[in-house]
Amino acid sequence: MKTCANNGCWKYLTCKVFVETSVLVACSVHAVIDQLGAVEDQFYKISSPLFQVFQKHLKKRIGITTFTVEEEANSVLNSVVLRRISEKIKENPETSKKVDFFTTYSTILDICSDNLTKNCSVLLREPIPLEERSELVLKIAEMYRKIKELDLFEILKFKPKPIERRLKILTEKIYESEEKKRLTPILEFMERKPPSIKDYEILAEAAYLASSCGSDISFFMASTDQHMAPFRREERIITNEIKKRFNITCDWPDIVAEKIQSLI
Amino acid sequence: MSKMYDLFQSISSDLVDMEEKRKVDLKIVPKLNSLAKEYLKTENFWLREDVNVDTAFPAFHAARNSKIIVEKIIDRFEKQSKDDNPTIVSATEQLIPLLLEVFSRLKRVRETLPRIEFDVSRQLFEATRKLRNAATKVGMLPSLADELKDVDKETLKEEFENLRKQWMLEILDM
Repeated sequence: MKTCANNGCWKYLTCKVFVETSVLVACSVHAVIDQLGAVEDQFYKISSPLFQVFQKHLKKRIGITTFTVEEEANSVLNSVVLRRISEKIKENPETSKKVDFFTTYSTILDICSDNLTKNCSVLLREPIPLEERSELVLKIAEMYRKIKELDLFEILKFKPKPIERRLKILTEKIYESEEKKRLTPILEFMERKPPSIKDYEILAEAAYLASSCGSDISFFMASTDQHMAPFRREERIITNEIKKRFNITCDWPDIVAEKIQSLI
Repeated sequence: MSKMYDLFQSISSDLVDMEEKRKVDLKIVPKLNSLAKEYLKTENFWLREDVNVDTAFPAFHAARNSKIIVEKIIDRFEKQSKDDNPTIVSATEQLIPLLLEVFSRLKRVRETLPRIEFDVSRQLFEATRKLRNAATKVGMLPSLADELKDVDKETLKEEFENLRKQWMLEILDM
């Protein structure tokens, strides 16, 4: 069991949770506006319990992140606002001349950026050596390439089959249809929206941190990004591959919050 | 523009004086009011100018945040002087260099128009965030209620909802 010094008090470390961009953004997009009630999303509801755990066990420094993640989260907040303003101006070019128009967006951006700063303050920002990250990026690119090239025939080869011929054919057909149903959405998603270089970098940073923690610490990654977290919360092809190759348990933030409860 | 640097310098030397005398002096307030007015002018400039949103909005956002922070400083000076508490002086001293940084960035963007330098939008957002975070630490950020007092809350909530959907689509599709 590893230990670390913390304000002069030594704590046993049993787990670390790497927080990825999607969770940081999800947990930052909310507000309570007087007389109008709350603005919050389903994703906020599933992300906030994890931050409550971090806050409750602040001294144990469970939640970690990196500069790349923080910067990307800020960039997502800013770029979506800019896109929305551009759309509104296209609809009605005169709106941009009104002071209220920009003020509204500026206020919303302030609210969410302040939430983001507050959320980052309960996370430990870990430094990452660039050279090691670059090496890991190549391994991650290789992993995604293999996933995209998943061969149904190869998967079916390893399924158990009955010896009797007619039953064998029938079982094969059932397996094939089941596997197609299971794999097609994720492969289509990967085709339509392949992981970005930023995804590679962030996963590489998580992989570096997981390897530096050692095998006696459970390393989790909280994400809603379907290039990493279970696809539609269920399908674990990518997640299992990440676990196998990099020893990272990647899951949705509410699931991670549940899993770490027994470890802290 | 050098008039503005003179104003920053004059505010700074007032703060040094107050620090030395350990006494709040309200002669700084009219100078801070001039500074707030200057940021308001900058806000209006970016609303009027026919500049791409990618530059105009971050510039407006930077000017607006500077203005509301200066207004909060003024408010605190006016209130703090009554009980003569000098923490306001050191808090303001920490913010002046950041306010100056935002101001000089905005000035540069304005001077180079119609040419827009690479990465200006990100730099302005970052400078604004730095200023806002520093203001939070020293208690110089207006409360949410104060920030919302001049905003139409119904519109704000409606647009917040629209943005929320777009943000969530963005993170799902990342």
